[in-house]
Amino acid sequence: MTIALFDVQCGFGSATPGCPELLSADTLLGEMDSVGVERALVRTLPATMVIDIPWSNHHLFTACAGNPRLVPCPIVAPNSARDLAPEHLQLSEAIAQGAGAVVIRPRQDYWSLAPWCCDRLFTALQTRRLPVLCQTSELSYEDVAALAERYPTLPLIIIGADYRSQRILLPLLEACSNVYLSIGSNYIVQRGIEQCVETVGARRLLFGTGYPDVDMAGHISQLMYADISDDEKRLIGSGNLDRLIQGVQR
Amino acid sequence: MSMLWDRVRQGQPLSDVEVVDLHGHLGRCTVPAADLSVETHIRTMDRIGVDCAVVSHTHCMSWDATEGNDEVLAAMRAFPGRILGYVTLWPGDADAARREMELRVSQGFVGLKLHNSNGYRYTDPGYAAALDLANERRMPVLLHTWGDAPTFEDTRALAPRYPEAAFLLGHGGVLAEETYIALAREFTNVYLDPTMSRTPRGLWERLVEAVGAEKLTWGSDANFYSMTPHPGKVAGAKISEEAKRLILGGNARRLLERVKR
Repeated sequence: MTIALFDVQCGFGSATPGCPELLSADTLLGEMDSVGVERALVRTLPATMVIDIPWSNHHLFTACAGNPRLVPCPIVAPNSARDLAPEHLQLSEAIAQGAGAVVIRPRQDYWSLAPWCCDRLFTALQTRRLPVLCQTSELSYEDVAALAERYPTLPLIIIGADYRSQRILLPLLEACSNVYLSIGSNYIVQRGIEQCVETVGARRLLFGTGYPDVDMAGHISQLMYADISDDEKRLIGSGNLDRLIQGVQR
Repeated sequence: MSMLWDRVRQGQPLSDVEVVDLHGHLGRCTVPAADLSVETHIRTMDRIGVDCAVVSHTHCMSWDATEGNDEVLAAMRAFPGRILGYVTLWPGDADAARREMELRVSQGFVGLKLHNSNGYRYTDPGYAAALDLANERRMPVLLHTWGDAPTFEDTRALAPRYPEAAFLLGHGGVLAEETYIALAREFTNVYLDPTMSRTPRGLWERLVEAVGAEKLTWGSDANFYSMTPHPGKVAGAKISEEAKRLILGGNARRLLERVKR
């Protein structure tokens, strides 16, 4: 029986700076077709080359428009320097364009996670229940925990966790019920999926890959060979992300 | 896409192809993992359809190789044919290393695994006797490499000196891809084992194109991390079904069958 897959951790653009191959949304769809991924929450990548937030979001929305398999995940940031749209308008625009989540990049976009800088943004996100992707290169696990405590009904999704992090991830997931974990690159912990499912339940894990940095196939293999039930695989494969997106206040 | 990928996508064992993990580990290291038992390792192999895993102990990164080899031997005896062993050595005492190698070969270990995190070059005299024996027995010698110049220099020195040994360059190709390709092309007894946690997109396709599937072996590096992602990386690659069969097990079987027991 095939488990439906909804990739929470992928995108298009380029794999890494210096990579000559540019990847379009169609390239991403081709990869999804070849390995059997039905839908994807997509960003423009790599983050370090995505330097213009409004332009990037516009490009993302245009690429995803009319294709229900691609759900956009735009970048949001505090309007603390009065250079972006007000926070509530950023979210209205994202939701109007069909966003299933947003991504934040406090380091790259030079803002602070302190409440005096970003409370307006996170309060608006929590009101909308719009899931927030938290890349480990942009936020520490302590940052994620602090946000989770301040905004306890806002879903926070960790992406980019690595295989050495289980001593931190497991208690973080236990302590913060609104934190979710992508099992995409580079989370390949020995029996890590099984341990998380046993400890906090399958509802807290989301299937992800890390494409285009890596191929999708390895992380599909990881989920399909996990020592958990098919029902748990279905939740992780797509059910949990569907549930989070359905919870967005549109 | 392919029969093998369809199996992976369904979570079914790769039961109609031989799968041999040539880069496995037993034992604890700094990376946390809740269950490192051999029994669990075997159960994971069963779920995937891995016929056999050749393992070294994580103490290959430390100074206490002997106890690690003892644990590997116990696993070999508990699961004959499913778990095979690489000898690991501490080269600080050359005579002791020679004796340890001789003992382990007599106990049925099939290869040698060297890791340079102990601060020793692979050309260190402390390894010479073991490499002599590996060459005489036509064993696979798995070298930990990470795209660094010293391991490339050592490979260039060792491959012609020990022409009957098969040198597997662990993590070969994940960094400094062109240098690894050049080594695999230059030496008939050098193979690439591109296991990595974050395998770059398209690596398997590029390596098959550059050196041929016959020069590539498959390994998981489990239990350093999970075995489960790694079969899919090969099965899902855009390479021929025959290339996948060679990489997943055909090449390994050929290398293991030429070992003089």
